[in-house]
Amino acid sequence: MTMPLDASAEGWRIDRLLDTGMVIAGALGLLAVVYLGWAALAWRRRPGRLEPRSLSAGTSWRGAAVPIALTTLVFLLLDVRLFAVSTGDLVGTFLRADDVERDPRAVRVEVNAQRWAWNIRYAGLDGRFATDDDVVSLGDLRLPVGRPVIVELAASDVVHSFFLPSFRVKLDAVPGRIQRTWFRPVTMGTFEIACAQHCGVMHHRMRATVSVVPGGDFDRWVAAGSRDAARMAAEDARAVAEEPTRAPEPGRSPSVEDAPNARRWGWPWRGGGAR
Amino acid sequence: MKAIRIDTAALARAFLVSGLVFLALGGALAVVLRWQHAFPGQPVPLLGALLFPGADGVVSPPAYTALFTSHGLVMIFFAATPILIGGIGTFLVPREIGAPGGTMALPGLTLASFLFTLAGQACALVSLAVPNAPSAGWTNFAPLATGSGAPGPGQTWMVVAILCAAAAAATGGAGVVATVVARRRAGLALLELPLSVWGFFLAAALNVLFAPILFAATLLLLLDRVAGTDLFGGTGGDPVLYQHLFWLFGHPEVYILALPVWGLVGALVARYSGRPPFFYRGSVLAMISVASMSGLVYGHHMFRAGLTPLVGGGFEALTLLISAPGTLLYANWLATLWRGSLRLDPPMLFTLGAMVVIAAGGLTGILLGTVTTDVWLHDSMWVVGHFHLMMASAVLLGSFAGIHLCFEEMFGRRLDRRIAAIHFAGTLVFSLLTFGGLLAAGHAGQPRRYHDGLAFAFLSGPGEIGRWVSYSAFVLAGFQLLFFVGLFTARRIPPDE
Repeated sequence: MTMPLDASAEGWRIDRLLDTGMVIAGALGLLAVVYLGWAALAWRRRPGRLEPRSLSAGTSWRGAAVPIALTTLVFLLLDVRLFAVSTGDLVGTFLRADDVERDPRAVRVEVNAQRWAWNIRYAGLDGRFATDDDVVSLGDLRLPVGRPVIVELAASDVVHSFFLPSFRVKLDAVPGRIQRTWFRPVTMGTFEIACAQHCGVMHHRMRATVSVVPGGDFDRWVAAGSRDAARMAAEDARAVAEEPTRAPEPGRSPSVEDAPNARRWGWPWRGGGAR
Repeated sequence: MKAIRIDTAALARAFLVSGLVFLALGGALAVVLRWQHAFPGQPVPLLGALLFPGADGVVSPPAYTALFTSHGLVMIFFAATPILIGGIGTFLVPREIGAPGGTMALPGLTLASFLFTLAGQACALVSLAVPNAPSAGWTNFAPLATGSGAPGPGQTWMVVAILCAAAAAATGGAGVVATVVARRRAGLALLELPLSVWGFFLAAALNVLFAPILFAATLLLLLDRVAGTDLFGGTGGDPVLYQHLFWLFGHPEVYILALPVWGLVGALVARYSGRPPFFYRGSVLAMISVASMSGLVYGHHMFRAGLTPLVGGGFEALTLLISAPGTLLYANWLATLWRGSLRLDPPMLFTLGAMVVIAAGGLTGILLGTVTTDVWLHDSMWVVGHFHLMMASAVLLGSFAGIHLCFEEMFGRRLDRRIAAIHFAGTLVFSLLTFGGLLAAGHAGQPRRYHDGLAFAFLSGPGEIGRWVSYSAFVLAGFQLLFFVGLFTARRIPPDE
């Protein structure tokens, strides 16, 4: 059974390390099992056969050379290789979010997880988050093909995990924290967002979609959404001002209930401050 | 004042029986859980109407969360631990070190451990009987486990059950440490102890060190749950703090169950090959190294929780490093077999089987150990397959080896060898198919703890694997029934033998 199509620019690094690791680990495991099977068949005690000379009980280090050599070999083949490649990929690619921040083409998205939905937020035309012209969607993450995407991730109730199978992205969304990851979609199409961390009875239904579209379509979609959001915010403000019952009573501090639904979450972009 | 005499062997038998009862319960929970993946949305036959009367016998999403939560906790704390450490360990350790009368140094500690286990088992049963069964997963991550995510008394009772399990582990561990330190036959040096004793000894030391951390973390969780302390959630609390505390215990727990099995394998592979353990000192050193490092690798459970790059990389390096002593231990077992004279009695069959699944479990664990491969594998069925190979297959096969080793002396009865051979073959083959299937599903992307994957297009393939995993799991469970048949039909050994 194969993994879902990799639609990201850098996901192949994870797939490659896992695949080659599985081949090496599989070969080592097979060798061990063949040896055990051989031992059980060939060295089974038979009547009349001479008892073998006793091996060293391990007081000397002479007999130890073989197991130590075997351990070293496995360690080099599997562990050292995994560490080297993984660290190289992290330092050279996956931890490079600060470089992506400086890329003028980068797309910034805020994602807030809640049971059982993914809230998506773009900065809109003013380029700033947590303002009236933010584009907000429920479970509809749209991205331009080929441009790097930085996600700042939060949760409002319990721990979730933002899992994009087709982009090899998985990061926990933790209440009270803002975490950051990045990836670059290179294949157009519709993909899925799932939750990877048990978050309650409907954990298996916490689905949203990622649509990777041409850059021009994306820009037009964000611009239209941003103008709509700004217009609706202005209408809300007018309605509140004209309708005295909706204005906060004197002495009562404004609560989230006073804000239109879409504005109840979101935060000024953290940039390097998030991790 | 007259001291109460505590019969060590009777305690060991009581531990073993209570563990086996809960093994049956935990197994039944797993079968119902897998039913949902074999026949999604169809009523569970026979038991369904009884278990889920409100849902027409169907495994609903809340029932599913209760099943995987209870299965994990029951198996780890109330089946595997009492069988392996309470039953086999309590029986074997004093005998193997030549303790006078085969008794523990401070049997009161072992008795306390057993009573805490019984109390924990009782609380676990209550948690399943009251409304709203526990549902936060065996890890009980906050704030899911503290707030509205897991409402009702079931979750609270299960948290109390975990407190009892932690107390049982710490007291029992102290008893074993005291026994090995103080009650060895005169002249028996530490570096002459059987490898099996080393395994139980190191596991006991880890229990003394780390079970109190579980107790503390779980007590704080209980306070969050019933007293609104908001230590792990709310406005001032930190959900990640709970994860640090839990895994600081949770990872050593893997070695608490693994080390006794490794010790038994090392000792039995030697005994049944007619050899002394090859490179004995290397094996002891390897087991001590694993035990010493066991608290330094827990961060690999939290790679996705937002560790800083340096901390993540450090835990990755330590995780990969801890596999080296494990590999040396394994190589020593293989060398012990070399041109030996193998007696394939039931304990040896189960020992060889344990070696197969330990290879599979260990190698799949190494692949989980890097920060980048973990992006794909974390919280997937791969993790579930890996730890079932280590904590279910290896612990059970090792325990069966121990049970077959000790049974005659413990109960004065003899287990049927043919039943043992069939039980062994079925358990090995269907463990590999079941948990290998979980590895395949996880590699294909299946997240763990999904009631079903029908909502997701990318899960159509793994879902198909999950169906076959269920069929295999049912057969695996059937072979365990055979073990119980063997237990009940064991013949009393005539006095003249």
